[in-house]
Amino acid sequence: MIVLPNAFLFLRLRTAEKHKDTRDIVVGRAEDHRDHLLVYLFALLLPFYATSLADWREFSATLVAVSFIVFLFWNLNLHYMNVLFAVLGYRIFTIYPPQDENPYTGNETIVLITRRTTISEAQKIIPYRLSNSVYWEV
Amino acid sequence: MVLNFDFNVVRSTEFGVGRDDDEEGSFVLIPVDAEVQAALQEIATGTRETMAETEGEPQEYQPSEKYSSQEYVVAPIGSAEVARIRNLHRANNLRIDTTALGDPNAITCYFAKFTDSRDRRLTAIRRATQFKGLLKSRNRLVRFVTDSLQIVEDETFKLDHEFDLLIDSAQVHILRPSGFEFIAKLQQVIRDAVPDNIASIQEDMPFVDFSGVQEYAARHTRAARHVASIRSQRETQNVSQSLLKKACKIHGVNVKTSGGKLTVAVGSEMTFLDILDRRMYELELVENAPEKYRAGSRRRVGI
Repeated sequence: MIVLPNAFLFLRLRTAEKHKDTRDIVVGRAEDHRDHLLVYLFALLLPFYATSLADWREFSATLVAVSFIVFLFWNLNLHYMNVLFAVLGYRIFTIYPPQDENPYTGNETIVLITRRTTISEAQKIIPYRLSNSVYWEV
Repeated sequence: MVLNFDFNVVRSTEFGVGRDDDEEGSFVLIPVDAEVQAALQEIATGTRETMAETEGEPQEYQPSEKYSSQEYVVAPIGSAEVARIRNLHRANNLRIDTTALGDPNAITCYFAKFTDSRDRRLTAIRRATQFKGLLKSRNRLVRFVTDSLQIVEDETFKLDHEFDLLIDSAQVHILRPSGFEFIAKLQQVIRDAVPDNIASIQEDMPFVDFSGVQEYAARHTRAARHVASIRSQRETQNVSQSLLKKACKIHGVNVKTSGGKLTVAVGSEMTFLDILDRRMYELELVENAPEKYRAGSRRRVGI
């Protein structure tokens, strides 16, 4: 639950660094989503509370609960939440695209994992691309 | 040649393609690895070096001019003709589409966007002719693997040696005017701009009735190009009515005066625009045998 996803994440980051897989991002509006960390923690810890994994029935219930939480996090675009980021001093921002008249300006919202404490409007950032919607600024 | 960009410190390189998937077309990014990024930078610096070989200052691009396949000219970033290219250059957070190469027939051009240490941008674009060229050679490309030649089965794309144009914060630096016209969808742009261009010219020359010329230019691209050039070169200011009538007479343009305004007769519109665009001239090197010419390409000399 902890080792494999994080190992994959850091492998992806290493690959992005090796290939200089960056993207030029201009900030329209940024929101700090530290509060999502609490949701993440409670959601992740809840299925493990007072359960005995030795019992087949409880193990199945836990598996279903974890699958449901993974599904929910993926659907709510919260899959990037990770307690390790907070430990390492990273924050997670949702970056909204700039509102301009340009027909080619992208209109997708992205997630930025960064050590910055604030991000201002029109700021230019060049982070590494982990996926098309999640970026990491080292 | 002055480029508002520092190639020595390139902070990011993005690659993308232009697609003809709707009337406006779209531009999307495709992730590329470090080696492709280095190749794109090399191509852009090569393009800059080729441009720098041009003697003297580059001329301003004119839609009515006939250019050779490779000729360095510039267009101001604010001009109406470069609107599509300007929008690409200034677009933020372009959408990523990793499936964009799935339908190569829809790809019209490819581009690279560079950012330097001072956050200045440079956009380089090339018409995708050779880029897609190798796709026809599928199952005809071979490579040496271990001790034998094998068919390359993957879809292979080819980058060119130079881009058609570079765009910085001030200008569009055009190395191949035909590529620029294709990428900028210039034909459509200047035909759409005919009413605005004619209105601007009309302000400078209130003594001419341009309604017939406007109608003609809306139907003929060549005339629309002339109208765009005449406006952009600001060649209609202070034109004398009597001198214009004289030039029309010399070059056989039928004009009538009605209500104090010159009206261009049907069939004479193109030559009339040639006169306004300074393309008609007369030489007399043999006594009593004046010769008249139309210049497909011309450059002002002297004052």
